[in-house]
Amino acid sequence: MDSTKIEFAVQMDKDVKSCVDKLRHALQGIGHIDIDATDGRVIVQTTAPWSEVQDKIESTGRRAVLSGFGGQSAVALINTTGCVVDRTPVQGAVRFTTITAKQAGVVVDGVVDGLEPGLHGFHIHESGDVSSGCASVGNHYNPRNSPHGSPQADATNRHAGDLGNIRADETGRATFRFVDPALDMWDIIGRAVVITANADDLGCGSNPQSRIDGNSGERIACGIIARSAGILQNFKRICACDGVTLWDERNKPLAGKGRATKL
Amino acid sequence: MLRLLIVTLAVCATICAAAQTRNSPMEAIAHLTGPPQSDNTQVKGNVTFIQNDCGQSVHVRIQLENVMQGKHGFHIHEKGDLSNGCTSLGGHYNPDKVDHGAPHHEVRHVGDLGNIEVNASRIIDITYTDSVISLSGKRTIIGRSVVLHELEDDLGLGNHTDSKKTGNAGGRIACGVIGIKSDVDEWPCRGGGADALRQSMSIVSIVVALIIARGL
Repeated sequence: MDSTKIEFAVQMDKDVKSCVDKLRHALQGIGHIDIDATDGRVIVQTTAPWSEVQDKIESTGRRAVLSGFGGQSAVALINTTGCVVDRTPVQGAVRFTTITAKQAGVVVDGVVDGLEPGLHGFHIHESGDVSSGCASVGNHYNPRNSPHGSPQADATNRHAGDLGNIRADETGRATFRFVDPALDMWDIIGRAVVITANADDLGCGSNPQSRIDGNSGERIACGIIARSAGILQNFKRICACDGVTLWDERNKPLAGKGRATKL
Repeated sequence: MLRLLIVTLAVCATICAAAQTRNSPMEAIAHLTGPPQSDNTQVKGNVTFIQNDCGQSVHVRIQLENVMQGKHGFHIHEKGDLSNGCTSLGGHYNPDKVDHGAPHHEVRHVGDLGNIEVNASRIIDITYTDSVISLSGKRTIIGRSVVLHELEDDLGLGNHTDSKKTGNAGGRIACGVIGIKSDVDEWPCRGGGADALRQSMSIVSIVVALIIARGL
């Protein structure tokens, strides 16, 4: 699978050498690692999901904040509109990036918490209008007027937005990373990702709904695919607006129990 | 032969013209929300953008409620990343790296939409047109964000050091990502010049056809 560059701002301690050694040890085997101790920056070239890399860095007792992802990149915050985290248990972040400037396809890399264990349909919808929540984002993104299908099907037998299923483990967390060769960043920015209550049958079911949305049930969470910072584009260390540092902001977890229980 | 050429030419011109006209305008929407304010209300509402064709002005409609009375800076920010709420959206969208200004200034950020003024009803519903922002082309605002600020934007004319950067408009009281609203499968004018190219190609083909016709 094609690797992506992920940049983290990492809090370094005074003993730079031991800090770098510990980070290298924790990240061993994950891919190419580049650590800039003075700026507190770790860049990893990897095929591992970003959430896994972050967990590995934080396993050394340091806080890490993802500050850049791939080339042209985008992020969809699940069930977050504006300043307000919607009061639902399903939270998460799905990141998208181009592989290289010349190569078609998009890397989809995300973590979503608060799901029922098992499979859930995962689709890009045609609109990024969340004025009535997930109900107003339209149908599956389908520029070729194709029937619903599996992400492995050729372009005429799937919606461009058919990304198949994500699997939540017994804790309710789904971690996933895959490359979709048919997607183009330009086409998906400003549209929305939606997670459904049931599994997507990939168009193979007997129910007529199968050819429309894989009979995947109610929309339980969504987020607009929005522009985000690429590698080395984000030098923010202290937030100018409320004076809190990046590290304080890190204490508000993006997903997971910490965030869900606080609400 | 001449007649055939003229017919071909007419057909070509019609097809080319048809290819350039799109029936539906481009539409985008940002659903704005803010954190609870001192009186426990929160700012919310929609900002919609309509552009009839590539390169044309954009009609902006702002419908918000629970906004404190007074003037508030209103800008398009570069990113749409909500991972830290309204604080992770980057600065004003400013691809030319120029100074901050008013919407009608020659020098302004693309994202500088000035102020909105809210009366005692704390509700606002206004429509206006901006000729610098665009929903299409390389500088599309799709996937970026709309931010409403706490204070008045001084439009780059203040004494504060931030005046030329942000208009010194204070904190961010509400924000939302700009998403696609209309049912447009292939978002037009991707590279900014695609339609212009198509137009020039059609003119060239007409000219060539004319030259051939004259030569006969």
